[in-house]
Amino acid sequence: MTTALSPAGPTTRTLPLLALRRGQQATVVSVSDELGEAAARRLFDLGFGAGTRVQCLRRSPFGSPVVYAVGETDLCLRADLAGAVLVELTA
Amino acid sequence: MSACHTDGPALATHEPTVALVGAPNSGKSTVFNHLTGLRVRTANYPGVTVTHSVGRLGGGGDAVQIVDLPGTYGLEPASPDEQVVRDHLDGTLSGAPRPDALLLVVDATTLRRSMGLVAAVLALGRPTALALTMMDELAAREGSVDTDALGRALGVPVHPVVGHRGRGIPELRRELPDWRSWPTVPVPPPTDPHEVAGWASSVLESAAYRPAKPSRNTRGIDSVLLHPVWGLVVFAAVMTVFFQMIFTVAAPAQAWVESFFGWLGDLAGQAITQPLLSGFVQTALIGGVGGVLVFLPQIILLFLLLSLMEGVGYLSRAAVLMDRVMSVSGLDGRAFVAMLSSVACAIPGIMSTRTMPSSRDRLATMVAAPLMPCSARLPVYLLLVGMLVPAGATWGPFGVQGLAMFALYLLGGLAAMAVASLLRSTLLRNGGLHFYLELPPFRVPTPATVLAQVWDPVKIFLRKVGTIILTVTIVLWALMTFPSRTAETAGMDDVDASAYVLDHSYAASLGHAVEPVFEPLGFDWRIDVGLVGALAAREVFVSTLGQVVASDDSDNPSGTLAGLTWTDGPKTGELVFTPPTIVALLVFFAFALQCMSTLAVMRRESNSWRWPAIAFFGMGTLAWVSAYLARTVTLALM
Repeated sequence: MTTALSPAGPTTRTLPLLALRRGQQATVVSVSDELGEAAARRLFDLGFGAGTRVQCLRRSPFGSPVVYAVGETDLCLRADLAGAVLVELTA
Repeated sequence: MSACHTDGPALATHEPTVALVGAPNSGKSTVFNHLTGLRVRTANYPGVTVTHSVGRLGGGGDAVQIVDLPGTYGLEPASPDEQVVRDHLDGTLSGAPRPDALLLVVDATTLRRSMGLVAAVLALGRPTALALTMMDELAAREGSVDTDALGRALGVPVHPVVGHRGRGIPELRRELPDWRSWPTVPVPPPTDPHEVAGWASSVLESAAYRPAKPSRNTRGIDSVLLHPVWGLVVFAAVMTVFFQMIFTVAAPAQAWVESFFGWLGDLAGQAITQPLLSGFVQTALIGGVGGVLVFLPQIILLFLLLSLMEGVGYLSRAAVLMDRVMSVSGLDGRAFVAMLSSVACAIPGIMSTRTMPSSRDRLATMVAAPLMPCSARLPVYLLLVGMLVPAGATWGPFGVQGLAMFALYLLGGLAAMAVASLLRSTLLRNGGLHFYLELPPFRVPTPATVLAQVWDPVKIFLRKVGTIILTVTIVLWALMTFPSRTAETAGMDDVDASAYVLDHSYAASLGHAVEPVFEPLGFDWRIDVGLVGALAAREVFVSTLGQVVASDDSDNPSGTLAGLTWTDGPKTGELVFTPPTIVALLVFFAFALQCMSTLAVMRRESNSWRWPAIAFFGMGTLAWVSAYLARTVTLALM
């Protein structure tokens, strides 16, 4: 697993974690601090480090909350936090 | 701070303290319970509703105090609740000494994720050891780690532990008194997210860490439990069983407690000839103790079921399913179970909020929970609906009595959500925590942890809440018994005598005194006396009212009540229980927080009288205004 830091800017394949459809896999690129530094730090502590593999396991019928496999754990996030994580789709 | 004068093992301040630090679901509480046994006290942090547990290393050797800190994913506080934990670690809290050493508890199946917390704890520069839990699960899911190499790479001793089998616990027990020999890391690891990852990778590589594969069982079960349709079906089934258990197991047990204390009271009443003393022992003392113990079956069963559901991992799945619904009220999915439990009784419901990580969510849930239609309201609703609606009345295929009951339950549920929403947008806005919830793999809960999770609320209820309930019962008994009327009631039979005493008691004076307040709602002073009695428990309203009007059948006084007329004022001679008054009374009971036991438990759980006061007066106002409106509308419709 790579632990390389995020590239400077979003590429064409970068999208928010929230945009993943059920079953889609991706790799974390970076965590934006649009929700504040504390939230960004917490996302990192929850496992959203750059390079971590994520998969969308469940989308609720109302769009929020969403369940993701993040590295070794499964996590439920609401749309706000899931929107703050940038990922890159894995082929 | 309340921690200073709480019960539990005698704690000398010079005793060294080891704090357990770890993420939620890391098995930290299991390790704590294994090390300390049941002699544990729970203490509040000042200013927040978060608690920590303090126990002592059992067995011989040097005495070591063990503190179980709230589970945390990182040491950078994201809310006031997490700030106090950080302050506790730093030793800047009064009453909670700075821990001398730290025992990190890390789930081996989430080792990489946990490295950020490990780095932050090691950077504190305190003597540290690490307990690596769930080692059996790591192996079962085809992962592995060399614990000795991990210890060398981290620079602290690492102890593999299998909590539910107690493996590795004896070694930890021997290790803890030796905390002075635990190393502090000479070069603290980086804590900046950009640098942690590299450090973590090199440490894990030298420990030959092979991560666990996703648990197939968990994924399979979750594909059903979290399914948009099947998940809700299972959820509804689980909640139905949960509720059925409370009503079919706890309710008979409660009835036994009640009839046992009723029998004991009768026995005492016959044995003691002095009438006042006999009444005191029978009603105030034995009745009061019974009134405390009657809650125990519900509390034990509810916490047993909650602890099992949490231990297995279902509670977090339920929270995911209910999150969208609960978010309407400004709360999150975790508040759902507390609200649902409050339909049985607000007391265990309020106590169950302690698993909620945010103080603000917890307080909003506590204050709103008593609006849920609890089972003590049922006898009152049954009496009043029975008087309002003829038994055979139908509306389409539905009985009107049933519809009225349904409407009252709906009213309570909606009011609870509305009040929680109001609080979260006013007094309790800006929680600081965004909602996230880990879904741990399904696991078999350890009996020791389940036992501890049931025993803790029972102990707190008996010691802290029971005393308040007992005191209130004695005061209410005195209000309804004094001044003594031995001379006046000499020649009367029992029913008339007890009615006479009550009608001329301090409670009656109180009823007369508050009559102007409740007169606009159509309540006369006798209803007001019933409301005073209902302070002990809502269902007492029925028997108190029965006693006031000297009904022959004080448990079902509807016949006598129907003929009751005003004895004074401009309405003298008119019926008291007219439909508008009954509707107002129903609405009043739906909203008012008259239950002193609920206020006592709210005081204990929120660690201040502020929130019980806000709830009591806020809901009292809501109840009065709504009852007045309901009466006005009913009058207009008639």
